[in-house]
Amino acid sequence: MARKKIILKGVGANSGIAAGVIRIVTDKKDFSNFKENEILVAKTTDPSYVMIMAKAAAIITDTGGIMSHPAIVARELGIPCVVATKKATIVLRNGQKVKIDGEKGIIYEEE
Amino acid sequence: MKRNKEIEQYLDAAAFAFKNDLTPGEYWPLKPAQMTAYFEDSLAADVFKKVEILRKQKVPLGKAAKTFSSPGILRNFLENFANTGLKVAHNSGWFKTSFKEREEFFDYLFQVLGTMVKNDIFLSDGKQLILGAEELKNIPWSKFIKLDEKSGKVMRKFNMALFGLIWSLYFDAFYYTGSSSHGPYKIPMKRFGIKNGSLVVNDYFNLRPLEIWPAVKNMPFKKVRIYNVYKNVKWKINFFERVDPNIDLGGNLCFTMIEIDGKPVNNLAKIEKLTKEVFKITEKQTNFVNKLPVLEIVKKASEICYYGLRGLFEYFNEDWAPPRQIDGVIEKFGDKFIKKFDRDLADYPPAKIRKLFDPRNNWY
Repeated sequence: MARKKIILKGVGANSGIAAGVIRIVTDKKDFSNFKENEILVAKTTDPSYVMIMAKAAAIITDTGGIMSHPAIVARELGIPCVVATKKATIVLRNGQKVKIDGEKGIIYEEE
Repeated sequence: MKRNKEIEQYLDAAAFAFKNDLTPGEYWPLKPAQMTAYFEDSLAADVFKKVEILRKQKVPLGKAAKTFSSPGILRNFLENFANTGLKVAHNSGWFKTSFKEREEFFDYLFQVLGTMVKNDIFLSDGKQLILGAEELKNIPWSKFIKLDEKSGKVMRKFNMALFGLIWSLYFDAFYYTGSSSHGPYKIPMKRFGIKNGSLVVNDYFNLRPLEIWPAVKNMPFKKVRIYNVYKNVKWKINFFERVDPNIDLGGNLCFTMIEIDGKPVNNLAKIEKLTKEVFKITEKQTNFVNKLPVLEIVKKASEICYYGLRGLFEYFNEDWAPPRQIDGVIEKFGDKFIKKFDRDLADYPPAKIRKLFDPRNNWY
């Protein structure tokens, strides 16, 4: 089996594997577009983001650490989370299929 | 000397929590020191004066403890205000305290804290045990729901909706003003048919603080207590009431019971409806805060912190509202401290944290 290509690395903030479609949310206007089980990609978050985090299959952020709010929310929801990628909102694209390894903090390309 | 030993334990706990807890990142809406720098001396001095009276009048510790809404509020006063606040007041010359007076102040507050938790007050064992045997016995065990995929998702979402609301009401820095996590409690797991289980309680004890946020009047309830039973989880909490980040909680949650304003609620449709309402209120509250000018956020932070300690002010029949001179301080310094403290404390080495937190010096 061919190895999957690594797109991005960050800090693993909650373990687990999830595959799905990327949805970048950098503005609250994007909230209504977020669909159940998409992978949330955000620069940073504030409390209003919890409502879309709760729909996500996984969370990826540009900033933050293992005690940041996206990480805490992901652990409570039991979904994978990668933080501190620095450039997820730039490198990833809406609709892109990816696989996320929350333990290693790696985002792979998914066919 | 016992007192010095306890201060050393407190410094160990604070340094450990800083080392393991704080990671570089964003704080919403501001970093703690960007806000507390404007009023930490006033709050510390106000509480110091009141505690001095309690101490000299030999008010029973249990009665003194009732003036604090939770151990977290007292612990975070020790963390955020008691140390640097008293040093700032002393060095500024407007409220002088000797090292001995500060030691006695800390010693008294440690004793008060000791009546509020049933284990080590610094949580060095990773536990926070608040409920006693009788309270545990009276938990309505028959109301717990065994979680499957669907109900688990509903319950976890509700828990996180409340977490988000607390975040929006009390900011990153002062979440303990309205919530607390405690446990793990030893309970017979036979009734759940599992081994290696533990009970952890998430208390959201003030979800409708109308005194500081009148706009949350539509919040349908004030208190929620969530009892969670996890399997194979070694749940741990630190001095700042942050849960060990190396645990996947959601994936190991197997039974839950929710009490809303003291009554068990286990109707999933009702919980889903309430979750949506909480999300709406959180969004509105977050947007409101995001629109506030930065110095108004600092004023709000002072209200939150004084409000958290209102029980102490009310014990003396005093208004808990922040003194008006804090507004003057904010106006005088403008955004000076916002700029000065826009840095990550995560970079602080433990020795520096210990020095900063130590009431027996004047360094900050």
